[in-house]
Amino acid sequence: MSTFRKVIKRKTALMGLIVLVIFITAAIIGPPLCRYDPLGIDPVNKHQLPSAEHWFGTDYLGRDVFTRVVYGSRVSLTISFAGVLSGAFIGILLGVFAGYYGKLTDSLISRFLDVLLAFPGLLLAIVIVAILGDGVENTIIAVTVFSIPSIARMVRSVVISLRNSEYVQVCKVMGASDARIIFTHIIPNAVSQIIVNITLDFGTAILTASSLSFLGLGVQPPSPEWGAMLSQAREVIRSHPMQSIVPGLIITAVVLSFSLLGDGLRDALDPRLRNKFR
Amino acid sequence: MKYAVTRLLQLIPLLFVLTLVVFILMRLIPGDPVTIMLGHGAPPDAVAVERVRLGLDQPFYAQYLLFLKNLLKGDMGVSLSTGNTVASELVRRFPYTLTLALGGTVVAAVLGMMAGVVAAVHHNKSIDNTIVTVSMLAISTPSFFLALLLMLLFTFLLGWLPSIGLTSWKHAILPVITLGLSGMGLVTRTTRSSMLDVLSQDYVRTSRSSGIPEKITIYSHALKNALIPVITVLGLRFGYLLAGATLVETVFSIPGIGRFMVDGVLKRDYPVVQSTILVFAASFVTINTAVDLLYAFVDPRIKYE
Repeated sequence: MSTFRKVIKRKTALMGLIVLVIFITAAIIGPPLCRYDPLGIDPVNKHQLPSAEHWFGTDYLGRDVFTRVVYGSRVSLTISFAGVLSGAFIGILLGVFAGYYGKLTDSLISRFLDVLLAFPGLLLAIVIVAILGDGVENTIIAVTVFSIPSIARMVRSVVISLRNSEYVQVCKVMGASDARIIFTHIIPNAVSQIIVNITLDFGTAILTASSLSFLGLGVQPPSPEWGAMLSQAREVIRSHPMQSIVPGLIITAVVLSFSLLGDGLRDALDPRLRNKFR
Repeated sequence: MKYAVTRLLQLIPLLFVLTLVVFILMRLIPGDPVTIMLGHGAPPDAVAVERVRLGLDQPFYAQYLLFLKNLLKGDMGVSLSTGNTVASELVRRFPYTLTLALGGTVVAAVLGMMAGVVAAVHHNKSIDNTIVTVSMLAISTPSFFLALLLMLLFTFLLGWLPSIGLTSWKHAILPVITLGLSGMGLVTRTTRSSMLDVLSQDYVRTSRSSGIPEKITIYSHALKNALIPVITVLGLRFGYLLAGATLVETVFSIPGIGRFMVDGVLKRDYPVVQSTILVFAASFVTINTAVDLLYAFVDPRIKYE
């Protein structure tokens, strides 16, 4: 049975996949289809409850919340994908070098990762934006740096476990170059773990980026990033709770979907772990 | 014992590297700190005097040594925005953060371990699936959103609990529960998977087959061993929260050190940013080391290799 079939056989993973496909589609083709301008202020219609006109209501400036959510999916998903994929790229390279060459290279890279890991959770992302400033690009860089250590460590351990295996030794004896051994014989063995790791990191990145924006350190208003929307809506939460609940639920749904899909992938790609880490 | 000494000796260079890294990072921030302090229209001679006073005319390594010397004396500079010393601000704000970190970890531990054991014991039954789903939801919900939801329910709708500041034990309930629920997901998952592991071990089977009551087998034989990996998760969580439960502090307007750092970043108050980041990273790696030591103490099979 193909991996895809195995993944969608699990109801939770399938649910996650469907939600993500909806949001990715919304991010790609949604904005031109929206009736309203995500930044268009309409004071007469502010604080509207959900209706046929405004599916998710309007915010304190009369902006259509549904339109902002659709445009926001473009911002949030771009940050997540761009940040995690570049972080994964750097992380894989670091992990391969550390694991394959060992000795001094390994020590240097591992100490570098130790330093990154010394800044717990969101703190690392905050350090980056403290230096670079706010905005979408810097939030992407913060997510990139944030994603490096976990994948680098994972790849390093896979490479170390394979480095001395017989088939790699045979390749060496036959005169294969390091690059050839690494890219055609070692990395393919780590691909399934890398895919699972990246999928889970996409969700974490959405959390990280929206947290930064919520604190006022990431994407700045009036941009419709979900965390920034929630941060603004919070001012009127007592009188108009819907405006906070919508972006909050959306962040939760997308993060949850990445987790469910990631877990489903892990089960499908690595049957040994089935049921253990559900 | 040898393990403990090695582990502690490894901590010292890491702490030094951290001071160097944070020191360099802060110098990467564009803009001259003295100009930011005195404002853009400051007379050039006043800027020059201030540069000398702060030691900024010295070469890089001398500046770093001065920074290190002051740090060891507990002098972390003066906040540009409040004029108070950073050290006194940290001391004033620490109890808030400690309350949240301790409370949040304890709630996460109690709820998470209970849910994890129940799920493992009823493996693949509907209660297990419910617990797994709830813990997944707990991991995925942003803590600031959870905080806002609890605030909406318990403060605005029901009027039971206050939600601004941290002036009494009542004020602590909502933030602590938020942090507890946020951390509970991971604790549940770890407890559950480690318990499932242990329950399939030979000694558990022996215990069961020799007629020892199931409760004793689970709670006094299996649980003890299953909780070892949970210690790491809880330790990390505590260290993480001690490094500022920034988001929850923001929602509940609690003047903890996490909020102190974010305000420092927003106001470009570099002495504050530099010191808070350093304090957080240092306390986090120290707690990690302590957790490792505790782990080796609880599980004598672990030896340093």
